[in-house]
Amino acid sequence: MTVISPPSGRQADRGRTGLGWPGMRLRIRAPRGVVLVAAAIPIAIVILGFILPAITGYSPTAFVAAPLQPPSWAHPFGTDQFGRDVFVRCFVASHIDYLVAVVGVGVSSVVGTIVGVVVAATRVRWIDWAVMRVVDAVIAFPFIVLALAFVVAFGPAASFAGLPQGMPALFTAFLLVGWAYYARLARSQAISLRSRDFVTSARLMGYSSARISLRHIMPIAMATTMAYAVGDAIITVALTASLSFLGAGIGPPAPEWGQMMFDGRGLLQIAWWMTLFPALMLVISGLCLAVLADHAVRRLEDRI
Amino acid sequence: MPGIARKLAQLLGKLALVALLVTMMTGLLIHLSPGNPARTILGNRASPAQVAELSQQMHLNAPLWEQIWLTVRGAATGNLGMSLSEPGRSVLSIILSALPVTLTLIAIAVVVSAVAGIALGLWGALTSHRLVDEGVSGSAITLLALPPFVLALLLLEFVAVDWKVAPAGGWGLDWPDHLAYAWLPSLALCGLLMPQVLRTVRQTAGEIRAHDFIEAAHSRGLSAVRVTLRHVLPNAALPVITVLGLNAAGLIAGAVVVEAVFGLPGLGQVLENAVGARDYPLLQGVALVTALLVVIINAVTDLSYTLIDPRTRTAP
Amino acid sequence: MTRPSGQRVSPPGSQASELPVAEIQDLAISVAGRQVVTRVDLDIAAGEAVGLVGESGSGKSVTCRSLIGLLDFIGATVTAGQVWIAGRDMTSASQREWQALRGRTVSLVPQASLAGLDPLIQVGAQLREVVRRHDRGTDVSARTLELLDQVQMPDPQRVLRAYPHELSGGMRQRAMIALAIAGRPALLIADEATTALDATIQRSILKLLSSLRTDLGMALLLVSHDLAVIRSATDQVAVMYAGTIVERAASRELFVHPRHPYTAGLAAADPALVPRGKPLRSMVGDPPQPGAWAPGCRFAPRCVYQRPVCEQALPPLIDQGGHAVACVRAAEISL
Repeated sequence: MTVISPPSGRQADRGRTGLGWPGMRLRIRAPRGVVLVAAAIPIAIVILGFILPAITGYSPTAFVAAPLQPPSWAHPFGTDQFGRDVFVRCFVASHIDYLVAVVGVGVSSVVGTIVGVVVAATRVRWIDWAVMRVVDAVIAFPFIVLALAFVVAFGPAASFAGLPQGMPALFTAFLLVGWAYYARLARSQAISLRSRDFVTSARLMGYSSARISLRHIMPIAMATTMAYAVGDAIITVALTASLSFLGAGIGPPAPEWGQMMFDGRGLLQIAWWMTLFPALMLVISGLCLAVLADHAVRRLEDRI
Repeated sequence: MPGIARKLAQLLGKLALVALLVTMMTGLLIHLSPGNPARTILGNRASPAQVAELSQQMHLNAPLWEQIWLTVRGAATGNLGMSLSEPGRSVLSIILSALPVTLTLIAIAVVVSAVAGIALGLWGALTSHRLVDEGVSGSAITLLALPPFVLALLLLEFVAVDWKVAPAGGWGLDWPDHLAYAWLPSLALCGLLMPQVLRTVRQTAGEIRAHDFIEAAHSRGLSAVRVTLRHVLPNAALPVITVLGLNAAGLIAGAVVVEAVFGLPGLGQVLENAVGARDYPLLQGVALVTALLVVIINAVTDLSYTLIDPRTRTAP
Repeated sequence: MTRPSGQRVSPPGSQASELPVAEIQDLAISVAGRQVVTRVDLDIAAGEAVGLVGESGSGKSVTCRSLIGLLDFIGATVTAGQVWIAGRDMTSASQREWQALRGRTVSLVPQASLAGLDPLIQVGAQLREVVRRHDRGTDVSARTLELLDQVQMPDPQRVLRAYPHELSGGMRQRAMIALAIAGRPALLIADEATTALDATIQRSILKLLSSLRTDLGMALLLVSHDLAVIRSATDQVAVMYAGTIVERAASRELFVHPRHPYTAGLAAADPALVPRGKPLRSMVGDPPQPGAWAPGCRFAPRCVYQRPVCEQALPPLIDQGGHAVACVRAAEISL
């Protein structure tokens, strides 16, 4: 065929291999500059979360002014029903939401990748099959329902190490369920990598299967899951917010976007700022992470 | 066609096994919590007698395998335990009365998302109006970034309360009425699924259009309409089915949240009340039912793959 | 508006005064703003077998697409020149107008790959679809079997019920040929129709194409980079390099007495054409990128006979007694 070929994108992923867990939803073609901005915004938000209480003098949990004040110069995002400053709370809340996302997604992706690669490498077929059925079962649980069950089982006041209430339940839920998605992803990656030429040549050189899995396949699988994990971070943040919104996530008085929207829910008519600004923070974070995630996946696919 | 029969048997086997695993896992969930589960549920002020009674009721003192067996047997016979928050009502009856609402919501959302997503996606792939296409894609992306409950809140606030085009929550008394209450929440749920369908169809249709067999079909003199409908569309439908299957769990989770926002008497409300009242058996029951639903939906998607794409019939 | 065409080899039985079934005049095509084809002239007489030879990037596939109106699909546009099909100027024809011709007047057999047939539909159904399009009212199943018979398809009943992935490469290619001739076209374009097939199957497909040509009175445009294939199956050959035709002559003549250094280079490097015992000589360098062509002869950078005069202007294609060559030094050099 000539050099001129019809315009074609990547082959549509059939999804049979399990690729396409929600993190793959958002694929945006973003030019370089946009990616940098998308990386800068969350970082800026986090930094602001640290310094704003000091600058403004308002603590995120203290009652600093009259309740239900509309946005003003003193309180750019207004105050909530207890008189807390919404502006400061919004930015401090980013710590909690991002922390849950990073830890939840980070740990489960590492664990999941290891399981997936090991399972793909095993010669005992029924282990592979059995683990995959377990993965199917785990993935079947709608996450919110599971998390709610944990929250009740743990008790709402459960906490330790100074973390906000409800975080341990959330972490447990993420870890117990999250690894399965990455295991499936890593396994299909490992299987497709196995037939690649560089693995064949390694085998011909006398490397054992174990060594090939560990030194060659694992890093690539890990990179793949990490790339998708960035996209999953968005989902995690949204999930955390949803849970808090249902009254079962991070407990008060810790600021958290979903929690704040939950507070503002009944007061939408008179105090719209309580709901709008956390929502904006959520959406902006989501978009930034989506751009970053897509960038990461693109870079990855170019190399592989 | 023997290939299909064999595939069907395989899928059913997988379905049964995963359902079993799901049930077993649900039985185990309670034991993941630190401390005595019964005490945690009842709270610190419960008396030892109350704790002991609840432990007995929930079989927490029996050996682990027996507990799992009881859960499995219960699921098979339809006995999911008794609710703690509504004494006298079984978990199953509570769930069954709420399930139709949730299923209605999801069904409407899937149909609307599929139709709108495919139509817009096909149009986007075939049109020459680049700008409009980019606009549609851009909106799709923004929609995706919105968590379902934010979208639900927005819709509730503006469409229902401000513009008064739809009732602000609640549910009808009988069947045709339900639709009036259901369409807005379903729309909120669409925000989750439709952009994905749209982007998938758009990308796939664009790629398929560039495939050799499409060019070949054109070169034989078949009309553009025929090529699109008979050749491009079925091939583009495959990834859509995948998208639908992958989102089964997400749709249910989204429905739960949307129901909470709109105050619909579905599983979402059941869950909210259960959390508030610490009704663990009810939560466990909902977890089980929803997980089984997801497994069934995934099995159905797998089956439709086999029906549509002959290449999957011979594969192991 | 026709140019005087030079002496050409016509198959026995055809009349010299018949309109050419396809004519390309001074054609230039660009893709995404880059010129990929310039100054191409080609005639295909009724019932004639013409070969188009060139490497990847020479523009031969794009040229083929211009004969069947599929340029839009690869994002290409005609920037100069004209394309005539059966005496009609189709240069700026709409897709609708092209659709009326496709399958009936001009048809295309794509490269022998799995992606030429819809993977989801049975082969028989795809055949019936095309038969219904072109032969409304006839007995569809009879005609379908007739087509399969014409392409010498083994086991036709099984093939009708089979899906594309269940057939071997050779059978798939026969199926695609059947689909292409269903409308009894006057011109069949075979774009790399035998590439990606085993050597033995290549031969049988070529023989099939040739016999179809005589049986159905079809003209054949055979596009390939395989010289042996072209030499055995065509009457006239045009050689393309870097988007333009550099030599055109009768097939018997071209490879034995090439007049353009590029053609000579091709012939010297092909094991099928070089007598046994003689060494193969490959050409140095690569073809230039489309659109990045220097003003003069595009082969000059790789040509051993290059002189400063070669770089002044693109050499015109000059026809001398049926053998056309685009080289300003053609008369001086002996190949």
